[in-house]
Amino acid sequence: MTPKRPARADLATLFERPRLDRTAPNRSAANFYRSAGAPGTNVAGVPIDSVESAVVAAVRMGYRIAAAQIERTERLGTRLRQAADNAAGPGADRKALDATEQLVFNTMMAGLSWFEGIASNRGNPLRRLATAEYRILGSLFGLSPVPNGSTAGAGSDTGCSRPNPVQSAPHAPADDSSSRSSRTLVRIRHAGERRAVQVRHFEMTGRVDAGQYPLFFYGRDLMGPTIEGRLIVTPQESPLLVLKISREASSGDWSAAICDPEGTQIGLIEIVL
Amino acid sequence: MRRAEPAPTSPEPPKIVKVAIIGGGCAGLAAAWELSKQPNFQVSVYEKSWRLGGKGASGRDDRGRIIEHGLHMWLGFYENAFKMIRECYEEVRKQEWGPGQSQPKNRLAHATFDDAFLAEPNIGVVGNQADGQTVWTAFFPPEKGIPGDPIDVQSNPFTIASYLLRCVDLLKALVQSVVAPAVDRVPGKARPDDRSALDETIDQAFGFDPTRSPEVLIDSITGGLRDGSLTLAAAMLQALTILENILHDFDQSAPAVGSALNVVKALLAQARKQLGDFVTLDENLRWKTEIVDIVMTIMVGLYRDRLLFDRRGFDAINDYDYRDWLRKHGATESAVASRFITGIYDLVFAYEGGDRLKPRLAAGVALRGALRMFFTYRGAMFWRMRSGMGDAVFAPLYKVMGLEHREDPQTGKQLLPVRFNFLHTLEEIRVELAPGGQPFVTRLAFGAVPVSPSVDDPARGALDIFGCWPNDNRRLIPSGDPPVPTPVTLTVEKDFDVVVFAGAVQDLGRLLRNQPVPPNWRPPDDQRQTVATMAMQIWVTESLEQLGWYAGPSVISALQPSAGGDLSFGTWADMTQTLPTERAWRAAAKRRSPEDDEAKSVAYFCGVFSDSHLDATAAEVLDSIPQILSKQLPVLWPSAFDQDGNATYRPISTMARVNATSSDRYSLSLPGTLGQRLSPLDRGVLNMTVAGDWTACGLDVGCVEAAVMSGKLAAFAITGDQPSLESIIGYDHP
Repeated sequence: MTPKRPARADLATLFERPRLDRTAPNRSAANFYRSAGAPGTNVAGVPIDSVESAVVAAVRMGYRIAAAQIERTERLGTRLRQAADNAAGPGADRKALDATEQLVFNTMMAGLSWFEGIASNRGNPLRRLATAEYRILGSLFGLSPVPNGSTAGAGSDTGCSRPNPVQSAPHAPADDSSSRSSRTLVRIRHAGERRAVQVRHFEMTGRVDAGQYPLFFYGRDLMGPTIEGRLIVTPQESPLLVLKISREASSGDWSAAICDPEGTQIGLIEIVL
Repeated sequence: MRRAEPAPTSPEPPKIVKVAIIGGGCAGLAAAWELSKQPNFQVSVYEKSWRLGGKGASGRDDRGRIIEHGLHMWLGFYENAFKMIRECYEEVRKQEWGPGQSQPKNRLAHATFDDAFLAEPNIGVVGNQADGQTVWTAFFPPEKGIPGDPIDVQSNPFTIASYLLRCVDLLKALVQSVVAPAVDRVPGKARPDDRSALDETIDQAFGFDPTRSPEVLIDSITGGLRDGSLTLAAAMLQALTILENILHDFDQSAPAVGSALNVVKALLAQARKQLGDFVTLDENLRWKTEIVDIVMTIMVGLYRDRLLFDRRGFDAINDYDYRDWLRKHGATESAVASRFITGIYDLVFAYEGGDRLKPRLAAGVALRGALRMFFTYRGAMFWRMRSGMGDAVFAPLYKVMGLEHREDPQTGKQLLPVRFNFLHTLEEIRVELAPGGQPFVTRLAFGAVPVSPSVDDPARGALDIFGCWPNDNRRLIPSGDPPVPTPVTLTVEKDFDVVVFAGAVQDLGRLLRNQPVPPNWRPPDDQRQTVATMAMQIWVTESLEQLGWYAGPSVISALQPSAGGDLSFGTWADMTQTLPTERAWRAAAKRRSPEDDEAKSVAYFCGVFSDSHLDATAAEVLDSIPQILSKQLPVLWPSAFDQDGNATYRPISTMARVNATSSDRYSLSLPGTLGQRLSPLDRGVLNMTVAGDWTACGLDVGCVEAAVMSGKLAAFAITGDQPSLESIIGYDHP
């Protein structure tokens, strides 16, 4: 129990501790950003006016970290390739090591297949997230960008706001099975020089009537010569691409619009000589 | 009414404020250090022991051996403590004190901070595996700077951005941890090639030797990718995405928040499934999986409990035990029981009543401590001293603060020396009320032992011939009959103006029990708020390698309790680096001891001491040590035991002690108790404040840094402006 003692008037003249503005830590997140060395609100170049700005800064930092990771992994890929050169040199061994490297990277991609599994569930909120992450991981492991049309989870039900050529076409069909892409087998017939041709991209939107569609392929030099050809579409077989390639045609990428008789573009095709 | 406001423009010289500091431990000395830098404060320290340091005290016996109170390591985030000791060593350098001085009055065990402190990047834990116990060690990459360096915008580790970057670096280093350190690791200095720790980790995991066969290379690639990249892809990127989503979605409509939470849960479930699959491939990955699980659970918990945006910071979850909080947010039981969590409990002796079956640690304190420990360290995660803490820390503080002529390095003003009064045991604090009801301390009564006149020598004082603290009070007390304490009474205004109580929390409760002070100034005399500890030192003739430990100097925690007994150590640290200073002491004292010079390594152990053994005698404890070691040491020193488990190493000497009374006991951070802590800024008694790691000092866990922060707060409470709260690093940490 506290004893009862008479108050001492002379104590009022004694030294007493100053009154303080603060008697406890200020542990708010915005304060967390403040430079510890000096009062103020400026830390790491980010003026902190509110918790919201702190959040934005943190998210930006998240992106910077992701970018740094990608850059580092690219360096790792470079080292792997250099190691292959150093270890086996040019020739069969090098190819074997390259093949191994490819195998390992494929294994890595398989290890990420659960993303695909999530993304394939229609209506799942993860689908959109997985789409974005798939691109990050693709870049992370040094793979070429995945074509938009084949990206898992990029369908219209994902709510993805990124423009999709298939979706944005004026006659986009409701039935996915009627649209055609490069995965569709395109047969090639040479009417000129029989130079090796690879169809890089083939896409037709809307319903396409059977018939022949004249094509004019343009290379990088739009003022240069074109390659003539035609596309023959029949109900029974896969489309047939007839090409009349000259010896002088330069190697590289060529592309052509597929148009109906009125000139409305109903598709496009890209080839590599 | 007079105030302690500095009045540099006043024509009259400022009045000298007399400060009485009760207790010469870390907190009391930190308060003394800060106040002694103000020209108008006259500080007197009253210490019940014959030496300074409190729980950190150490002394030299008559063979020069360092006898410690316990195992003392400084963590790389002890910014305030390092700042103080580095300032102190700057003065030591000016005075040209050091071990090689011919005059004993100029001797100290160390002449510089660099000589006194040594970076320790290797730490580890012991855990159980299917085939027995194993040791997991990790190299924590050195970070730029040295703790105590000025913090500016570019180097401020106390930002979320910095935490994220450190998280990436450290987690990657952890999951790919290796024992062998790489080259060019000088704490505080950037690598000459400007490469980061992450680059180094990648090199270690994916380094190629052209002379190796393709098969080895392929194995290396496969192992490295499985070990690092896949785990990281499944964990780190997800963790960052989770955090991004959390931050994006925070404070929006409830459905959005719920959706984000579902995303986090789904991702966690998937990531854990993937990690589980990897574990089946590689047993060693289980350990790393536990780390990832803990980190991801913490991120979920931070979000679910809105901790990043709670004005209370992590204090909001201090009613939970750390393990319970992790369970609440979905951590697997294996992660909760993992050695990494056990290591954190061991580090802060977080066992109620010293019972290792009762781990209890406030979740907020644990999280804050872990974040600061892992993400804000500079130089190295751990720093060890090249001698005892008494030699490396308290002796220079004692000598510097006691200097008759010392100038403030910033202002050039003459500073007043601090007076140290040893063997003063406080027996009464008298508090009286002013007419307005304000309490004032009016009298302090000590039971004091008169000390030898030689101690009044300001140049050497209570230190021995080598500038170290002796291990007993013989230097202070004149020989002859045992001294009888005589009362010493201090009166307000005449002897002191303001008091800093920096003693034990139990003593404060006892001394103020019947005084007219606010209730929160009478902490309950509850022994459960503290824990007894035990410590042991062994000098052996074998080197670490001969004992079977090849990972170099390390700190290993989470030692498994010895079966069938609750007397066991939690942490082992190799302290072989102290041997040279012990030999130097013997050389300076001209005392040869060939037996001691044979020592090739020294091991320090520490752990909690169960209250159920408090009745045991010191001899009984010492007798039980061989049995404890035979159970706990083989995993660390496999070559030191034969096949039957009999020790084959040759100890030169063994020192053991139990710290079970009053201020010797370690302050616990028990769940649900942190809100009751008394703050040094509390103005409940108008001419008194408190200091100690048991106060509400911002860190709220028993350690040197908390004590120093508390001491600085006490100084601020008295001066009103020095040191500023902003300069107390980490005080405002969430």
